[in-house]
Amino acid sequence: MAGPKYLGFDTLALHGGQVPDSDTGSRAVPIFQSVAFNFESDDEAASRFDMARAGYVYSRIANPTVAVLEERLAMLEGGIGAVATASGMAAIHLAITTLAGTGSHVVASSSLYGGTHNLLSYTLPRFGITTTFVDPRDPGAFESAIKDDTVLIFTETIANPGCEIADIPKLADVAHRAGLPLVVDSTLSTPHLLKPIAFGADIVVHSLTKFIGGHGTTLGGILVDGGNFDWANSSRKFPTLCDSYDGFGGVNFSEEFGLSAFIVRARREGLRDFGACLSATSAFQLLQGVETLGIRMDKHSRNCERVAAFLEGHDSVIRVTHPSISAHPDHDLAARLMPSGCGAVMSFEISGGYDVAKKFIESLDLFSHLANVGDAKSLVIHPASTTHSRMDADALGRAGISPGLIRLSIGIEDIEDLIADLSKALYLAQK
Amino acid sequence: MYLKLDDDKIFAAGDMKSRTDSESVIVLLHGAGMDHTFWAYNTRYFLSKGLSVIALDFPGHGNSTGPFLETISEMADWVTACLDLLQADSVALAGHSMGALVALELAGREKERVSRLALLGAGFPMEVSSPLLEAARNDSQAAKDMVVLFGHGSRSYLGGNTIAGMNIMEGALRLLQRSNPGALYNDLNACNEYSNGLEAAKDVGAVTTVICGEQDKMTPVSATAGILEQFVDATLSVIPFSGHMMVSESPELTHRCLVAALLPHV
Repeated sequence: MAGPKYLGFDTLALHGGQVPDSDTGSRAVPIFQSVAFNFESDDEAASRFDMARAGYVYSRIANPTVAVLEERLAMLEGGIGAVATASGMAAIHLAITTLAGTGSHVVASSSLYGGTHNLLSYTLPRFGITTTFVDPRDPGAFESAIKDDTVLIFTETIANPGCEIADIPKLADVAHRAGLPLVVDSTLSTPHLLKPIAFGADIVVHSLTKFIGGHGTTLGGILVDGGNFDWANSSRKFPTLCDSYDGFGGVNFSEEFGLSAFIVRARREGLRDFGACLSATSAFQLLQGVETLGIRMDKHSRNCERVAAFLEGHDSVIRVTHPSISAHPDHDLAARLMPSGCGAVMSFEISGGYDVAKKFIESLDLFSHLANVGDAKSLVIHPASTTHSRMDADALGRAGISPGLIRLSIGIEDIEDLIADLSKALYLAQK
Repeated sequence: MYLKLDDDKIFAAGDMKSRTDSESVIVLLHGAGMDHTFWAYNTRYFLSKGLSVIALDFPGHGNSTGPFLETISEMADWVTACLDLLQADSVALAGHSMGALVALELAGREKERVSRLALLGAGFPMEVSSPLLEAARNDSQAAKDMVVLFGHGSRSYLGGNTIAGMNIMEGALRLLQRSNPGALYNDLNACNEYSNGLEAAKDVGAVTTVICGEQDKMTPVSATAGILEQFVDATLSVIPFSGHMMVSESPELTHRCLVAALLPHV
């Protein structure tokens, strides 16, 4: 008889993190819509507060429904633990602020989601955390930008809307040689297509709002700790993890919790003090999406490949940006890191600039015009005037966002219907 | 805190509080390829009670330097030296797996010093299968996978951990992956070659609790139950649904058993 084996992706997506409720037999994850949880005794109360016994205290710090989602995502990513947050932006903020303080520096890809770009460019500098942005395709640029006070390297696994693919093994090598963790936003790849930790990333963040939730109903984010980074023995100093912390009775997270120092601090300080926790109901809704993540991502990816191929051959299209296109600069890298598909967010430049782009979008029927990606339904938006409108012309240029650029998030409708809708809108836009 | 023993730097999580002569120091010993972080919650609990507690890293493990100790007997000698250094004349001793064998050996030798004994995931002889030992000798990933897969009960494969958000099987795997090369083989080999368990048990004077996971495939309940009669005063506590890694698989139930074993007055 064969020995035991780790469970597969789809099995974990359905079952991970949940023991069916012993009192009721509930098969679905119950929604524990409770702010606080009873203690049996003073000893139990004090011990739970002090991280001396397992159990729940208050739902801002931890909640049983949210914990199922956290553990499930940690399992799917191959991480040692996870903390769920109110949104993807909250997860990015939590990742950075768990390591950084006044005087800290971040090296980040210049091709980032607009909200992340705002956080790093304008908001965090108000708190003394600065960022140097570099070409996402140039590991040497990341290395050159590292300073004495750098605390992390940040990139997106698949950038948006340029679809730049992060060379995670090379960036991890750059980061680790400098004694730094590599933090990646893997929202557009999801753990079904890519497991960044297996390629060397140390911390993974997601907007669960997108493909993982998958239905455009619920905001959420998550932070997954790979547990590989040796905070205590790095050549860099990480005082938030390796010095005693007066805010929690003098705990030294690295000394006491070792490889889980980061994720424990993120919960015990970050959720406690910043408070961007996920609600139990949201966690339940997001779990419904997680259950079908594998089969959805397969169809998202196949549909997107078909749409990209269709647009590439259309006369009204100047260029198509998706790694499935052989001309894409990261086509080979994407095939290596994501052999089962490289996501369903793509962009293309329509001939005629902004006015034609606007007409195209307004001519679509099946595609929903809105500021989101990763819904089961197909979506469309004009980045330069919406999601990335806070970027100046230079930054837009560096990110490859032209006036005629249109972003598509390809859903799981019948592909023939999607192509018919696009075909009709392209015709009407040029009329 | 760090201790200096010969030329080696020894790490002990926890603290030595001021205590009366009669108060025992709680000593926690980790298993093969692990370190003090295995006991993180337990250490914090005993400290929060104002007790002296140390969770030692064996040489070459965790934060402790020095060459590996190759036999359970050498490890027991080494723990004794640490206790001497700390002037811990009375101890309540708990060990997990390999640490349980060390605790047993020590308790058999030092009746006066060891007042309470908790053996978690214990069994003797603690035979290690040839494929696992061979894989560990080669420091292969397969050895670490085997320890993780055989070390957890079937329920843990699906998670449902009560420490929110933690993926305990991946955590155990990562701890093994981050151990020093050769540590796992050294430790498993020491367990495999230890043969003094039954004799040591007869010499134990401490009140003893054997804590076993119901689904433990490494030191199964059936094998554990048979050794109880060797002790003067021993009881068996079985943790439902748990495997060999009951401290992380069922932290609250294991905590209660451990407290009952070491602090009967609480």
